[in-house]
Amino acid sequence: MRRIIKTLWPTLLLGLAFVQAGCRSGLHPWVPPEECKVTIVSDAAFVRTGQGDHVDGYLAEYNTDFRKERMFMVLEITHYLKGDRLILNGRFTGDSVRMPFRDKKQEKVPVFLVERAKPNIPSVPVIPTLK
Amino acid sequence: MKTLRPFGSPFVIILALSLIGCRSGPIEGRSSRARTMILTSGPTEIVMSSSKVPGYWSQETYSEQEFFLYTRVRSFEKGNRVEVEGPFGNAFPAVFRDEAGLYLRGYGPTLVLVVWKMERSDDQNDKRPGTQEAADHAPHH
Repeated sequence: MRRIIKTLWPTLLLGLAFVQAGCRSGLHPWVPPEECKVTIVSDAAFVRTGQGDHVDGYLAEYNTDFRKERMFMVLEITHYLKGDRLILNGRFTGDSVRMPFRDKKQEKVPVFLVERAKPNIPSVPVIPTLK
Repeated sequence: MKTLRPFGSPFVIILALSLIGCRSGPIEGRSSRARTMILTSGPTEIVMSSSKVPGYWSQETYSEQEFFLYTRVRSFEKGNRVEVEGPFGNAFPAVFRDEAGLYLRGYGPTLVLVVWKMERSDDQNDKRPGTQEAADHAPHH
């Protein structure tokens, strides 16, 4: 009996630890960061998200499938200006913020947590010379 | 009591592993000796644990190691040679690199030095009077 307990006890503890880790709220499966080319369309704003977080950031527009979408890009240091074009690396958090749209209607905008942002400076196209 | 004995050793091992896993904070040494630095930025800020930390980016002249100097004094300029005292430690802050327009979250590890005393270095050729006035004495928490 004692031998069985001795063998099973560590396995049981390990299993309990995994179950506890799995049940922790706020734990999300890891997703790789994605790259996004955006244009900032608002001044820096401090807003409250749907899940109750208060975050700094900007409203930004980006193109996906030939459609213009909007996101709220979250940064801790807001040194960019309205109109800046950026290449972002980060993740959509699944959270959203309510932002006014064109006709003053409120719209739910997804939150994008920025890990890295750099200016999007398009390179000059290489035009072959005419012979 | 005898029946609890087999539970002992795995429990101790798991406890030890948990403690190792839960250890937080850097393990590198801390020092408060005076260091000569060259400021590589003007007054700027970084963000640690959602708190804005004002200061300067600098490079130690001896080791060429990059530091962020946490100080509220904004009277120094990029290129100034300064002597700094204070403890330092590793951090992974969010930073904005002004020269490149680059924003990086979890940038690091970055050495952040809490400035206790900061003054223009004496061996600077263009020593001007009044440089001692810019000394900083950061609050001790």
